[in-house]
Amino acid sequence: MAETGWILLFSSFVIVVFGSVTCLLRRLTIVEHSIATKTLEISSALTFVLLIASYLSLVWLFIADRFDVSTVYQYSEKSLSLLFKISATWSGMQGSLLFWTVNYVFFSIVALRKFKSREGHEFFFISLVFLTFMLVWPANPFRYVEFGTIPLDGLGLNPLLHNFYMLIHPVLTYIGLNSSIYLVLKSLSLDEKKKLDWMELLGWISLTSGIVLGGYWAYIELGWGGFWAWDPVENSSFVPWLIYTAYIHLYKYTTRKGLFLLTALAAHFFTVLGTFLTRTGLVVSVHAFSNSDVAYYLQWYVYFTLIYVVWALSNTGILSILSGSLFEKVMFLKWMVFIFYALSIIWGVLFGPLSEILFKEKIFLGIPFYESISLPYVGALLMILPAGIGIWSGTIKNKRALGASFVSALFVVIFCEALTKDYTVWETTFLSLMIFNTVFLLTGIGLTRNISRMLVFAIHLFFIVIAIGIMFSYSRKMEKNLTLRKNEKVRVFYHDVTFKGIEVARNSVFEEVTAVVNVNDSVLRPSSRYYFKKDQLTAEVDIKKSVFGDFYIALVEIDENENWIAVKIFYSPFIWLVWSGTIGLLFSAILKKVLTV
Amino acid sequence: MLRFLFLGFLLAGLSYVFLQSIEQGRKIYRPEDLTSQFSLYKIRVLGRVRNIKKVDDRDGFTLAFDLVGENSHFVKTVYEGFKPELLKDGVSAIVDGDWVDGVLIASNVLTQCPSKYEPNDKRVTVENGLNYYPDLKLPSQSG
Repeated sequence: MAETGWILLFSSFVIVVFGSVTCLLRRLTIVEHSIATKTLEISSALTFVLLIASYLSLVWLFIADRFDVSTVYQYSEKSLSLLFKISATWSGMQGSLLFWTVNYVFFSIVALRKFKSREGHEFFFISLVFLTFMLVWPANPFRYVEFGTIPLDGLGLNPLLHNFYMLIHPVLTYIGLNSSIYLVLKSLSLDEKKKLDWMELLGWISLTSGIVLGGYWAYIELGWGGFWAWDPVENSSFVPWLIYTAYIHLYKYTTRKGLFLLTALAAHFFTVLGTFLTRTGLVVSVHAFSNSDVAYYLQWYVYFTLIYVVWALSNTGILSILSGSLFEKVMFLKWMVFIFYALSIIWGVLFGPLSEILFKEKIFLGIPFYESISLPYVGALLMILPAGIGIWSGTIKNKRALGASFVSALFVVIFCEALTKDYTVWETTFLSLMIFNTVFLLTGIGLTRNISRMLVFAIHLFFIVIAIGIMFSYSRKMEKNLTLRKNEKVRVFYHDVTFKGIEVARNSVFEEVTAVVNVNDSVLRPSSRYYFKKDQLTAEVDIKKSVFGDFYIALVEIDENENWIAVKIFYSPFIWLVWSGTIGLLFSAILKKVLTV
Repeated sequence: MLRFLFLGFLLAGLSYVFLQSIEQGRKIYRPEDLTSQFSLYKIRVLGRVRNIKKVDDRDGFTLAFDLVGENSHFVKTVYEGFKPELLKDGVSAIVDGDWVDGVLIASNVLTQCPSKYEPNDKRVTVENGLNYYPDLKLPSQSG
């Protein structure tokens, strides 16, 4: 079956090379256009079938515990459940690249069937030459282990990945990132851009939920009380999301093909660049320390995509939009903010390698840099949002709506600056902008009877909800490392905390030591697990949730006589707004699309 | 007029980002780069962890470990805080801190996230090397 999987991959490589040559012959009019197009359609469908079959054979190898295959041995083990064995197929570099390619081909096939363009087929086949080449040779997922005997069991999945959210986060993120090719192929076609379609919305929803689920997993699993660290790999998903969001907004104010194409290609380019950074170890990241064998080949794929972006940029006529209506100008400003925010983040990610070239020193940009650049961009978006949506809906002419919004914002300023005096200037500014937006959007919902319009307001309102949650949980997060002695009550972050005792449990996979901790009227059970096979210790946090925030406790150390425990305690105010705001946002977006069909 | 305003904002934004990158940047070092330096502040050092020890039993534990680079060059590192969950001997770590009097005083220690894109480790050993498929001959692989 391993050889079968590889043969299927190799066959797909041959077909995409054939397809690329056919594209060239069609462009040179050596082959008649209709014959060439028909051939390309059959080739693209065949490529899809072969790649799907190849991926399914890899899945079969994992399910069948074929530890003679290197990638199965590296990332799977007998004791894994079926779902985790399937998820292990995308845990390693080779399997994830194959899974990535299958996603890419799926979105491409759907787009090529719907939207006809010469450049579409060319882009599709040439991209796949890079991807299938890497899969056939340097990143072959069907390679056998290199030692003489066949292992009885695999090395298994890292215990931290044994988590429901890690099952779905990579799938959703890959779907979202690869849907960028659908945007490109749609934009390359001559069809007039009028409506956001389901595939585009599916891509954006997948990417949004994938990113947030990744953050949620980090929050509940990693024991540091946070959900976003501006790591280069995290940024590699956030940057395409920003551009994708800018793309979606285009449908509201323009039909200019050049702008759609440029934005789609930018989203796709940064997706490709992101996968390059993630897989090659070019930048320092907690997610990617290693150099991989595909770095040399992947860089050519990046250059290829960049050529298309430069071509699109030169054909956009981008500045002509400045002579449009006020609404177009405001929305274009919003587009600029999204794009430049994305570029600034990528600048931060690439600054290390660039500084090495320019200054002969490797310089890293961390969280303080991303925080400092985020403030003006997010501030700009918070100011443009009510302007754009207000002009579109006419709410901006409603004196009551504007009055209520200004008064609410003013009240926030007074509260923060005069009454509590506990907020920084930045916090006061952002909070007042967010409250202004909240009241403005709520008023807009109240003033309209059109459900579709209400949902547009709701979608943006949920963005503000998420922003408020991020602001409070980030700037107001409290953290304390302390030792709790048995039966001694301690006051921590407005909660009475008492360590009561220890519970121990054991199975064939791990031993778990749980601390029983009373927090006000609740009982929390943070624990520490030792996984025998992996020789790894992991902390399982416990969280007391309330409407004001999360009281989060992670166990660090236990006294051998069980008289004390060392814990990390975090208090994150209003963090639930981030998760619930995301659910509301996605639900509203889907409902809006359903109602406009 | 609007185009000039647009270009003006563009230049202002780009300048701000560039200045922030100069101001917020941390130089990246390996342990072997530090041994010849006297003192350095706000740096980032990459290496592998070795010999982790807890220095203080009271509240606010202090950890000491070696951060090892190429050719076994290492620097003594001190970190005030609880041991990060994944920190153990042999793992790769990113340490932010100050290099003072021959000691790396860490303000933050990051360890590698659960493995995703590690290369195949050819040094792993097989447990109980009995054949699972006694008659299966492993073919040589292409590539």
